[in-house]
Amino acid sequence: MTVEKAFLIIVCLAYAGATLSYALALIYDRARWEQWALRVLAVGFGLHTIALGIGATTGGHPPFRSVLESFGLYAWAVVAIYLILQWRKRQQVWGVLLIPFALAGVAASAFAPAPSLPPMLEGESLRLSTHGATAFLAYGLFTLAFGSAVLHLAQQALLKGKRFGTLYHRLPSLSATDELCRVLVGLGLLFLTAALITGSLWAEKAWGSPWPWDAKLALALLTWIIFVGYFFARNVAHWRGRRSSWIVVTGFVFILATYLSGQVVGTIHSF
Amino acid sequence: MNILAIGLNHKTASVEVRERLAFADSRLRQALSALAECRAGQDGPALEAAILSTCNRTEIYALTKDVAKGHDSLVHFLSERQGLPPAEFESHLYTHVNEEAACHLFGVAAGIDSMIVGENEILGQVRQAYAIASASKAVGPVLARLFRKSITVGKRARTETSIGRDAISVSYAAVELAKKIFEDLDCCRALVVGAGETSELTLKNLIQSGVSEISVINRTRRKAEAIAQKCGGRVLDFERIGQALCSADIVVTSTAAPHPVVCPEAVKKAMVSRQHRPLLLVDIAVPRDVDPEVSRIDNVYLYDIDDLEKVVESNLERRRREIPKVRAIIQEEQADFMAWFNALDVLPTIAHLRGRAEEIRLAELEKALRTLGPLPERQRSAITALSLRIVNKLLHLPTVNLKERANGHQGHLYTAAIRDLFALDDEGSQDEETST
Repeated sequence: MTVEKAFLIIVCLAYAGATLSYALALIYDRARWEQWALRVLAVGFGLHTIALGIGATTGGHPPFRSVLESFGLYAWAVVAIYLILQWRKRQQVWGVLLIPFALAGVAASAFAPAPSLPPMLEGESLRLSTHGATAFLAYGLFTLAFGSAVLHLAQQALLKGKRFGTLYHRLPSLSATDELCRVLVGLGLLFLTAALITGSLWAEKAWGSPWPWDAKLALALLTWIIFVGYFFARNVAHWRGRRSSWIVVTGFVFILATYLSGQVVGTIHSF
Repeated sequence: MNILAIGLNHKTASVEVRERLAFADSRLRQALSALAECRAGQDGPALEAAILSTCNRTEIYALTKDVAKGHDSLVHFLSERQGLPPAEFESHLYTHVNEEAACHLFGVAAGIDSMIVGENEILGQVRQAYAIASASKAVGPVLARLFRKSITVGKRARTETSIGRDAISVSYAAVELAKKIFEDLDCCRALVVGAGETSELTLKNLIQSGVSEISVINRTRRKAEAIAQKCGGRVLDFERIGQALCSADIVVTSTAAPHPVVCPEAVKKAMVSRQHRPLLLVDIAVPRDVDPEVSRIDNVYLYDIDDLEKVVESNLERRRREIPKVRAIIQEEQADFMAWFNALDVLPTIAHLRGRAEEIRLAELEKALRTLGPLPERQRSAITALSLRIVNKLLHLPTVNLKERANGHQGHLYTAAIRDLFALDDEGSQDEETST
């Protein structure tokens, strides 16, 4: 059991505790448990950052050489963006949606066997790092956008269905989630574009061609088109609120497909 | 000394009984002044008194020596003041003593004894009752502290729990819904169609929450202008409803029309021109002003009076769920108050007991020294010291224990027992016993 693994297991526990706390806070309508959950989450995140740092320095490679390991980074990105959003505007109700993603991610990476990997080429590490960083930040942002869209759709359904229970009270307003979704998708699209560009630059060096068609790239491009379509739908067809939220949900499915395509279908992108 | 709370409220008496016992402000002052006079003379129903009289309750809070006697004389006082024989209201009265009296008043101030849980008005009424009783000099230190604490409890309940939050009236419910759709009402425009008390109240609440652009439509232009003037809005022609929908985010309708005034086609057109930004329609009218089919349109949210009542009911339910938290606060503050109250009785009682013991000691010492004749100083002081030591040793444990017990549950009973057993309240009875 390495120090890194030990840290990751504690992080798992922290995220699990936070998830439970968020769920209970929602069911029993207690705002105080949300505060507690946030603290636990922040502590877990700190440990997670340390663990990733240790992994990166001792392993000598960025934390996404193996897919299970990459889950950890994905989880880290989700929690990081979530915490930034909490810092800007306290709106904790979606903790119950997102932290399970983070939990799954960390659990997968904590219990992953250490991969045996070929050593990296010179310069490869930096290029890989920037491509990976932008990709994972994009994944994280789109995950939160997905969360935001789900909250929007839920509140929308409650308002239309005139069900005024606890959930209706706790969920944020339609405007808030719609606006947040827009911001997150915008940022996500930015990073996704950056990932495609850095990937293209790196692909040139690694595989000879700037756009080697494979499942992952095809899906990534499709995803990019969907999210560009999101902005088109909003501004041109005025598809705000419910319809644009569904676009985000669809886009997120494609994000997951893009992320995991390397495993399902053997491609050059396989970890 | 005991704290008494006697009264009736909407749960124990119908409005016919309550209205006969309610005190109007002027009569309230007179009643309290009468009680204050009794207070000064140390006789009459109570040592201290205050009266809380609202449309839902009439209660007297008093400090009395004896619970039963105090209760009877206060009932008599009420009957006399209001010209109602006791038989006609006594069965509706509830009586609370000491801890329960404090708990009751705290609960009233916190709003958990009200018809609408968590209402704010009652706190002001409790404040007012205290102010009037204070001005009439009917309260003393005990009731003053009790009432001040109850106001603290009322404030704590409303800040530390959600007992007083969320809309419990139809007009506020509309605003709450608006906030769930729009977040920031500052950039929202409102349209009022028709007139009426509820719609004007809703408009007032919307303005308070930040809405600034208001348009008013009414079949009678004069009425529209009256409303527009009050809220700083502009008037539009009744025929222009369709157009008005395009530039409003929140629409409140309450016309007397027997058929819908807003139809789905008009709303669909408005949505297109509004670029599908969300639209909130609050239809307070009966028969309804807005065709129910409208609610099926995307991004349009339509609520009729029944829906608003649903919101209110759900909020009341939420408030009721806060009651245990409020009770916890009440328990805390009540324990604090009772500790202070019990200590009040203890120290004078102990002083009284020691005083009585000292009287006996000095009397017996004098008799003994007289019998013994002249004594050298050493023997004299030894006998004096003996008498002192016996008295102190005898009283030490009871004193310590009494101080401790008095702070606990039913602590005042210990103090009362000591006063009773040692007959501390009977002056002059000692001389007969010691003559042997």
